[in-house]
Amino acid sequence: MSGKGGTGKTTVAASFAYLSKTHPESPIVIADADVDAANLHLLLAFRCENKDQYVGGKKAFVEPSRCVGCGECESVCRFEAIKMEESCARINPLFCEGCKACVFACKYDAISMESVHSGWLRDGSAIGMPFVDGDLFPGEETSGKLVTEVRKRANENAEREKIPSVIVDGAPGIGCPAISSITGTYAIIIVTEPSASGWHDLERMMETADHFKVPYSVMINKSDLNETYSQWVEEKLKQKGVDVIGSLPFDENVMIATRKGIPVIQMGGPAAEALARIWRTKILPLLSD
Amino acid sequence: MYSITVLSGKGGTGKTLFSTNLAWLFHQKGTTAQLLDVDAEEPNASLFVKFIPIHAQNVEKWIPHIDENLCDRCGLCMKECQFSAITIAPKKTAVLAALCHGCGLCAKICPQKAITEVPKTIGNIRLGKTEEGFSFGEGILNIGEPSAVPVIRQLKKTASKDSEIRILDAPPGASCAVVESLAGSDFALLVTEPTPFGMHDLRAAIAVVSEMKIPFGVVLNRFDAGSTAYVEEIRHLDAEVIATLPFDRKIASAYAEGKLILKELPKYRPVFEQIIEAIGRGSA
Repeated sequence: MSGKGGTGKTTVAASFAYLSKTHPESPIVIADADVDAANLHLLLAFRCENKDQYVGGKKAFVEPSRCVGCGECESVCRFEAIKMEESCARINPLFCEGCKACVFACKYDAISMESVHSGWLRDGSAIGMPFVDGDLFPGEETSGKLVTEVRKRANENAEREKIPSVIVDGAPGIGCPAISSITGTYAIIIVTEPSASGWHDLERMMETADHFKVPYSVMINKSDLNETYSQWVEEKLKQKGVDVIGSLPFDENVMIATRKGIPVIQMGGPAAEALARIWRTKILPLLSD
Repeated sequence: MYSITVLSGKGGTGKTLFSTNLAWLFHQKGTTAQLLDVDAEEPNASLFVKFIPIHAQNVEKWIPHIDENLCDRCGLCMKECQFSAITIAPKKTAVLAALCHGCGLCAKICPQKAITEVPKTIGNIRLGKTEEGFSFGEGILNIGEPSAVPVIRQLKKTASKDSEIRILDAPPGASCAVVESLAGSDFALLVTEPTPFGMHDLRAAIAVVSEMKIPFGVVLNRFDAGSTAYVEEIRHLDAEVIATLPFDRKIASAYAEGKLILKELPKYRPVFEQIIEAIGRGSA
């Protein structure tokens, strides 16, 4: 997890996934829960074997021949999704939350609810391990629900293959997709960066983890971009009793690897070395727990 | 009022960097500007300007309250609630506030009139101005609340409409909160980075603004020697790169300390001037 976007969640998750390949005694299933902007597959040579339609919820549709243009539906809609145009209700699917209030308000049976295909749930394999992710269509609702589906599918695959652990690349923010990402999780690794905004978002992420009672530890990425701030963050976290599992230096190899579509661990360099060390000392013990 | 939403798809590409510096530059040039931080899950813009709050208000979601004396447990509300926010247990009808969208359906359809709606605070908005002189507002979602959409809606509605330019610093992603941020915008500024991640998520952002029929331009942040191929790729998406900001450790370091790039590194002013010019062309 990260709170703030772009701190390096996917870079870290991809490298951990790659490292666990080298340790067949602690196999994992990989899942990407950032369904709004799923990127992990780009680093792990994902081979999609199965693609299921994701139906998030229903939306309201108007039958124009029945609509008399009374405007009742517009007045009950709290999401400003209905506008009257030329005496006929028009529903903007981007704003419709699918609550059905308009269906009940309409005396002419002109509105019905229909299921909407809002994205894909994909699974297959990546670098030889089971991989699951979600691809929510742009502008859709219910991202939290698709995240739950991704996690569920990953858990099912893990059970079927008798794999004890799942590594989840979480969603940014602290709202529904982030909450769904951490639900039922054994432990969270929060990736942060040494900046004013990084710290602010880290604090809100830690509060969220506390709120849902999921234990967490913190990793500081690009720590040498601002040494003073990094030390300050580390000190602050120590005072709070938060475990800092390590720091990654800023390393151009991360950019090069990302452009090549491979995890930085495969490239080598200072960030890769730090990741290998953290994995060996902190993650492997967690996976064998 | 001309409204510009800064979004990105991928997180951490520089939305806040561009929106704060653009608001400041508009103000410097004599345009009355307003900056609204609508990334209510992780609002950061106020770290870069000196915000003087003048007005604050809570954001409330209306959730059902069930009068147990009137409720006969018929189950209609539970059956019809599209968000599974009501559960009828043997002794009590329970409301799961986190799942409730506040649509009011249950209160309207309850045959016993046992349901009233009560407010639940899910966040707050703060409005005021910056020490730099332009209007500013931000929305803050409470911890544990799933949806920032009502916070964004209320912030946009309540903030003064007197400025010539409104800049909205949107959340990452491309789903409901981004749609709410974009609603009614005249122009969208899509910030991305020259990586496969940036490109992948830019496509989602372009799909949203296109569907909403909002004119847009793309800004490439952290531009370096390996970036030219991405400019070409963006052109193939029928999009225009209106400006690029180079990768510079000095930018990263000023940003880390919560400073405005244009104040610290004025040599980058032409990049932002270019964006303003392109926005002007887009509105023409």
